[in-house]
Amino acid sequence: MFLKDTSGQLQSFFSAPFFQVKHLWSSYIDLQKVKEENQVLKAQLAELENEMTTYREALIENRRLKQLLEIKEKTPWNSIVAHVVGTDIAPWRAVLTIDVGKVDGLAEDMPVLCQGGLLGRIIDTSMHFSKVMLVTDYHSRIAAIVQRNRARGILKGDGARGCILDYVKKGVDIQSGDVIITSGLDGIFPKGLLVGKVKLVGPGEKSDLFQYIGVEPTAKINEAEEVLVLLKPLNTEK
Amino acid sequence: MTPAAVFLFLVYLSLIVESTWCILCSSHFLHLDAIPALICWLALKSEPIPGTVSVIVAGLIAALFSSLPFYLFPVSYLMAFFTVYLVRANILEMPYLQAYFFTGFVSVEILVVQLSGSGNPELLWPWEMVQALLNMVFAPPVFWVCDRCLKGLTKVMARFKHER
Repeated sequence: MFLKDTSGQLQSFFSAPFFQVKHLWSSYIDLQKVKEENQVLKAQLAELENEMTTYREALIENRRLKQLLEIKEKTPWNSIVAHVVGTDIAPWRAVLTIDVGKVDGLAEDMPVLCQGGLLGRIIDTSMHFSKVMLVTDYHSRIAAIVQRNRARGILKGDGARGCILDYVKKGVDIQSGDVIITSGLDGIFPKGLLVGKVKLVGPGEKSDLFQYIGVEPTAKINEAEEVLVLLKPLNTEK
Repeated sequence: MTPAAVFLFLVYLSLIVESTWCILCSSHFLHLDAIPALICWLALKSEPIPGTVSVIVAGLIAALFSSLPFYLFPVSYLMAFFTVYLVRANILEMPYLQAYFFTGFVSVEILVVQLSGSGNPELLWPWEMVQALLNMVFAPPVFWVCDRCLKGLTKVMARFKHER
């Protein structure tokens, strides 16, 4: 009996450090596993974050394309979607490069739209790329009318300031917020395309015949990534 | 020929970058433009004939990236090239510090020709001066990149000759 108890005591005395070391070892192994698991989870998290960014980007692109589709459905013209790939190296020219060209049926003077309204027109085409002169370019001229009272004018590009509706006589009632649309008289743009809103009306100089009308384009010019090029009226194909 | 090759390669690269990434980092009309500094560097390193030819080629390539009349680029670039080349050849041996100042000067020259030629002379003041200053500040890193490229290309060509 005594021998059994003594042996038991000795066993427990000698086995205690062994179990402690074993416990320590298994803790270390667990920690290693946790570390590895942590690394794998971190990698998975990064991957998921990346995927989420891609989905978010696709969602935003989808929204933009839906808006373009709405414009496409409203217009009776054939149209083609293009992506903006570059800009003019002369920074005072508001000109963009898009990734469609002659092989896609593009030609000079075709109107280009984006979310919000009219963006500009094609001024140069190569086989696979084209240049679009924006409505804000200093050389841009568009025949336009004020939607509310049908007052005619010429919409000139004014660089970063937007546009100016020129040749509207003094005394014609123009108010801030009036909507400007294309008149179709220039033979380039179809009638009724939304171009911008009046942001500033002034009498100009005393000697001026016409009033000063500052116009803010409704198209999101600086954010344009996808654009819609109007090819030709559907009814002319028949 | 080697400086001309380096020049043409870097002009093409900077045109690609300017016409794509500069949408993101331009403010109003101001943007990073490496071309005036590249022309200055070429005028310091190159002989007149290969320099002239490569500047004309660079101008024609630049015209592809713009809607300005195509002849404005070769003309303005040639004027800038000869301004620096003639000063270097006939008046003084130009150290880099002076070349940086000349970058600002030829930027004004290039912009005067391009803005007047494209029918927008009203934009000359004050934007052009600020752009010229920006180009001047941007010149030292451009010169550094050019020198590295020239050194690398010379080494490669020497090794190629040696192997042959």
